[in-house]
Amino acid sequence: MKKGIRVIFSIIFLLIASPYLQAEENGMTKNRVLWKSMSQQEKVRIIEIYRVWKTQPAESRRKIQQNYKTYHNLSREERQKLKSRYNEYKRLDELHRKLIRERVKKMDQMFEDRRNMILERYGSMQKKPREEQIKMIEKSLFWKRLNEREREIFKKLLFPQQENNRTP
Amino acid sequence: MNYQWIQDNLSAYMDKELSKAQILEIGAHVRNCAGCGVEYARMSRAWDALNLWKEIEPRPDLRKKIMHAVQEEKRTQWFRIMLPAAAVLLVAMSIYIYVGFFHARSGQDMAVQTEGTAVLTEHDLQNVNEDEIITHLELLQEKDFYDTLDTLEKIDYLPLVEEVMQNIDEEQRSSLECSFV
Amino acid sequence: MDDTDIALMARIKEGDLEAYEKLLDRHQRPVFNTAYKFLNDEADAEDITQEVFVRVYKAAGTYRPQAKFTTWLYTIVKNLCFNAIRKKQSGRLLSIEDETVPEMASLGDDPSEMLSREQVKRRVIRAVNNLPHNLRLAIILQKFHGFSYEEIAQLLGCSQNAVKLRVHRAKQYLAEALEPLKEETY
Repeated sequence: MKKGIRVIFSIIFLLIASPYLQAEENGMTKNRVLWKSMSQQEKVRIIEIYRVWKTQPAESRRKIQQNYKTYHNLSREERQKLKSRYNEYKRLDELHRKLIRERVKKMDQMFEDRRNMILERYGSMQKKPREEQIKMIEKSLFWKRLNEREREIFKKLLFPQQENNRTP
Repeated sequence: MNYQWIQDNLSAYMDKELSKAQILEIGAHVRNCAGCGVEYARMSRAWDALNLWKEIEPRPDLRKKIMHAVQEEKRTQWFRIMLPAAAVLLVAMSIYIYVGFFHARSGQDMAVQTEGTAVLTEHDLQNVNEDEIITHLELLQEKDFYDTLDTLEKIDYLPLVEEVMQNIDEEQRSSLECSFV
Repeated sequence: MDDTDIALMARIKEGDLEAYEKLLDRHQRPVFNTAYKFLNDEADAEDITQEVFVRVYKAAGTYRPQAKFTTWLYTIVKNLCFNAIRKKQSGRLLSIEDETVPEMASLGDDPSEMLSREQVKRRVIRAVNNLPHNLRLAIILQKFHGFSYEEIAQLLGCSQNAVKLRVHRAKQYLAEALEPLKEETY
């Protein structure tokens, strides 16, 4: 009788697990097909990126993998926003990219309670209508301290999908 | 039919396990032969003594125990039907998973066969784990994006950073002023 | 309705528990007593009896009446009794197949004394218990269940001649064992 119960549970487990196993296998299969269908140039490019990636410190690689997972857990709108932001970011020269990185770094170096304060304020801001958000940003110290060019940049970065609408 | 044979078949004679003719012959001999007569009498007596060993009655609950065991056996019989069925299902599932995997692989091999272009050079494939590339293909294709992702997310908070910093500085200044009061 | 053993087995195969109970009532006592006489232990005999009838039930589906039902039934009894003996005797040199009839040691009774029936019975039981297992079973089946030499041969898996010889040796041994007893006692 115990043997029978064990067998039944194994079957139930397989029935539940097999879609996941199948999905994972399907993911790999998809990648394999994609890889095989890539052009030689593309493959060479990927291999180069792979080589660079392998030489990166483990922590750096972990961060990239974590970002990959985070991205895939975001909503469709958020993913679109980030992709558009990235396209804008790519167009920036190194100087402005460095500027942004330094400002972000400043935030990262803040004490946790201050970071939490920022996140809280951001959360409240998100709940407000878009027009009000824009007004808040325009009134901010941050905005006042930007030059014209920087304002242009942040205009596109903060609201990447709404370039034709009213932005600060 | 010699004497030894008769001696050896006295039990069989007693048990009527011989042919009619043999029984008659041994019977006649036993009546006439003192030795065989005595031997036959000894064995008969011993055999009759076994009658003293009467049958005993089993305990009344033995029947109940047996019936209970049989009921239990009947109940578990369905498991014995399920077990082969479950085994068949298990095998079928394993085949399904394996065939699905195999089919996908053979599909890929087909794609490779139809490509027909030159392969990558040896240099390109040096120290490269192709499986690892395939596993992380999406990540590698957009590595720079994923590398920058956390920065891209935090751009949203930048307008608030200086506001918060200013508020904190004002608080600290006012608390210092208070302490001097 | 035909209620021969074979007919009852056919009904049991269809799931007829009433037929099974009939078969059980018919054979439970003799099976129990066979096991009891062979093992000389009531509790063991009960266990063997239960196991026998559970096996009968389990085997109903595949039972084919190739011989007498009782021959098949008591083959099960024999196998279980012999297994029980083997378990008890594991490690001992004497195997179950050994048919050496023991020397009749003195049973400590005064041969001239008039023994009670109870004492005679005890002597008889002791004598039978001293027999090698195959001989013991042959005697029990023949004496108490009226098995023929042919049936005993089928059950023990030997020739009729071999059965004849075994029974003869067993009877000689019993005769020797009970020799001192007065005729009138039993």
